[in-house]
Amino acid sequence: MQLLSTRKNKLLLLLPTCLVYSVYIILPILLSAHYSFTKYSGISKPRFYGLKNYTRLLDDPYFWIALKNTAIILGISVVLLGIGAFFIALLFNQPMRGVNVCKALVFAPAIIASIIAGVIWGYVLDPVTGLVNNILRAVGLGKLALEWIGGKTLSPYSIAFVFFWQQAGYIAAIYLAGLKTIPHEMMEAAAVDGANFWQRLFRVTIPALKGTFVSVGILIITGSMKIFEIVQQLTGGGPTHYSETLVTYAYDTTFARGEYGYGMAMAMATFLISIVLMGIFTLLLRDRD
Amino acid sequence: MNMKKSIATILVLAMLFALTACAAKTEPTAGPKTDAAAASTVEAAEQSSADNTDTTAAGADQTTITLAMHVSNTKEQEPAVYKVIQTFQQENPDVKIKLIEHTTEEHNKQLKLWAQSNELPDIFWCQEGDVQEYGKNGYLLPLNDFLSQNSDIGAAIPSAIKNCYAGENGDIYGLAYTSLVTGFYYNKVIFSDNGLAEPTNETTYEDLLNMVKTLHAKGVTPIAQGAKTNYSVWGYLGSLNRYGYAENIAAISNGSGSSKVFSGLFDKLAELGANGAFPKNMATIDYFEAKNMFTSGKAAMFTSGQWDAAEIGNALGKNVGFWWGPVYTDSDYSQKTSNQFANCPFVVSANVAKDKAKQAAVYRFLAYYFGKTGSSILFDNSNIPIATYTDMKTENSNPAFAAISKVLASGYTSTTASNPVASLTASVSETFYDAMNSLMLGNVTTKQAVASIDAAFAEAAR
Repeated sequence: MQLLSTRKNKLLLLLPTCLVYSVYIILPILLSAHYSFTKYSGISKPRFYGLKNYTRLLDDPYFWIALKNTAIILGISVVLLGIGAFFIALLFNQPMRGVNVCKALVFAPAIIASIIAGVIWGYVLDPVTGLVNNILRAVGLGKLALEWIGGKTLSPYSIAFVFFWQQAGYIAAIYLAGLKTIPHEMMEAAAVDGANFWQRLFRVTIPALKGTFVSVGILIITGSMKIFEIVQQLTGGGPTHYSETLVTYAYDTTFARGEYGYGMAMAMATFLISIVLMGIFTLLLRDRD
Repeated sequence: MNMKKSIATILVLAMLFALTACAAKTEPTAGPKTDAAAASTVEAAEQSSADNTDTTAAGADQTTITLAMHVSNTKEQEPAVYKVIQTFQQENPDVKIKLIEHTTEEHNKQLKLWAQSNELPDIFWCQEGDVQEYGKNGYLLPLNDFLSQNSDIGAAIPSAIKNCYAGENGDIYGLAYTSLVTGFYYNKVIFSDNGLAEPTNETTYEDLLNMVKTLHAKGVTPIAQGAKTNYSVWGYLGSLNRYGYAENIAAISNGSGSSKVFSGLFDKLAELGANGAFPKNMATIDYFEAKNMFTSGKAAMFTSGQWDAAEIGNALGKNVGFWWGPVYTDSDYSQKTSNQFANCPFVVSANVAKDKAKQAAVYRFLAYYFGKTGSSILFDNSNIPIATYTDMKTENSNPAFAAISKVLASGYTSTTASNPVASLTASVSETFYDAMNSLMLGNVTTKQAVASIDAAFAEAAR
C-alpha cells in the first residue's frame, strides 16, 4: 500500500511504539542505573554512594549463589528447550494420528500463569507432601525421594525443569513454524540423493532454520534470566536464599530489605550479563557471508 | 494524495489515543496472594480531597477515609480490627472507611511506591522499623494533637507504649494498633497422648529439647514452622530478651555485642533443628501452612501471637495452651520476661492535615478505635488493645485467648517496649530472620549467622 510507504508516514506510525518503548523500557533502565549508584531505602531521598553497591556484589555470597543458580537454569534450558523442544517439533511435523491433540497438550502449560505453574509444581515436588516423593515411597523407592525443592542443591534443577515444562510447547511451536517454511522439495531431493534422517537433519533442516534458532536462543536467554514467579512460588528463594535467581534476589533486596540502591545494582548486573550473553550468541550464529 | 495523508493522520491519532488510554491512571490492585486464606479484592486509595465526600442516603455529606492494612483479608486475618471498623461505620454513617488490603510484603512495598508519588493512604499499618524514616521525611502526621484532644485515651495507654514511636523531637508518629503478645501455642492432647507434661513458665530449654526428641521419635512434628514466611519467628525473638537483648542493644548495633547476646540462643535453634523440632518441609511451607499443620492437630506447638487466638481457639477449643518459651539456664539475664510489646502502629498520612473534614473524620475513627468502645471490641474478639480502661465492659470466652490471659497474669514483664529486632530497619531485621531460619534448617553455623547480622548492622550504619 503506497499510502504507508513514505518515510514520513512510516516514522509517524512508529512514533507511538517508540514512545511506549522509551517510557516503559528505556527510562526504567536509566532510572535503575541512576539508583544503583545511590543508597536509597525507598522512603528517604537517595544519597550518592559511588560504586559501593557494585563492590558489595563481589563480596555478597548470596549474589554468587543467585548467579550460579541462574547459570544452571540457563544451561539446562538451552539443552532441554533449545534442543529438546526442537525434537518435539520434529516429531509434531510428522503426519500421525492424534498429533493435533498432542500439540494442544504440550502447548497447554504455556498459557498457564507462571505463578500457577509454581503452585502446581509445589504440590508435586514438595519433599514431604509432594506427589513425586509419595509415589516413590509407595512403590518402595523411598531412597529416590530426594529434596527436589527446599534443599540446598536440587532446587535450581527443579526450577529449570518447571520452566522447561511451561515453555516447551511455546518453543516447539516456534520451531514447528520454522519447519513448515522449509520447502518440501528440498527434503525430497535430499532423500532422493540418498541422505538418511540424520544427514537431512544436519545438512538441510538445521541450516535452513538458522534464523529460528537465533530467535529461540534469545527467547531462552531472556526467559531464563528473568525467571521470577516460578521461583517465588516453588521455594520463595529459600531456604534462606539458596535457590534465589538474580531477579528474585534483586527483588528481595529491593522490596523486602528496603535496599533500593543495592537491588538496582543487582538489576543492572543482570541486565549487563543478559546483553553480553545475547551478544555472544548472535555473534556465534551470525551469517559469515 | 490528501486523502492518503488524512488516513495516515487518523491512524496515528488513533494509536496515540490508545496509548493515552492505556497510560491513564489505573487503580492499584492486590499483590500476589500468597496467603491461603486470602479471598478479598482490593480497592485503590483515592487521595483527592475534592472527591472524598459523598452524600449518604439521609442526605448528609459522607467523608471517606482510606485505611491500608497489612493483610489481604482483614475480615479473616484481623477479625477484631475488622469488627471495630464495621461497628464504627455503623455508628458513624457520615464516615466511610475504604479498606486497602495486601499481604504484608506487598503492603510494605506499596507504601514506598505510594510515598514516592505522595499518595499514601490516610491511615495505614506501618512496619516498626520504617516508622522513624517515614516520620523524619515528613510523610506522617504527628498524633500529639490527637492525644491532647483525647486526654482520656492518652491516660489509658502506658507511657512506654505511647512513646514507642516518638521521634527525637517528641513527635508521636504512630500508636500501636494492638498489643503484641507472642509465644508458643501448644496442643494439650498431643502432649498427654505422648506422655509429656505441658510446658509451663518453669520449663527449661533442656526440658523442651527432651520433648522435641520424644515427639520426633514418635513421628509427631514438635514445632510447626514455615521458613517461606521468614519473619514468623516471634517466639524466638522474644527469647532474645532472655539473653540480654534489651541491655545490650547499643553494643549489638555497633557490632561488639552480637556474639555474646545471640550465640546462646542461636546454638539452641540449630540444636532444635538438628533434633527434628521442625517439619521436614519447613523450607517449602509458609506461616499459613504451618498454622494449618498446628490447627489440624499435626504439630504439638506453633509460634504465633494473640492475632491467631480466635482461629486457634475455634480449631482446638479447650485443648490449646500458651507459654512464653523456655527458661535458658545458661543465660545471666532475667528469665521472667514476657513477650508483650507494642505492636506495629497505625500512622496517619501528613496529607490528611490538608483537609480539615478528613482530619476530623480520621481523629474520630482513632478516638473510637483507641477509646473504650474500640478497646472492648478488640478484647471481645480475642485481641489485646493498648489502652486499658477500668470500667471497660468485656466478654471473651475463647479458650486460646484465655490461655494467653492466664500467662499474662503471671506477672512477667517485657524488657523492651517493642518486639526485639522488629523495630530495626528492614535490611537488618530481614537478616535476623534469615539467620534464624538458616540455623533451624542447619544451613549456617552460629558464627556465620552472627557475622551476617554484624555485616547488616555495619551496612545500615553507612
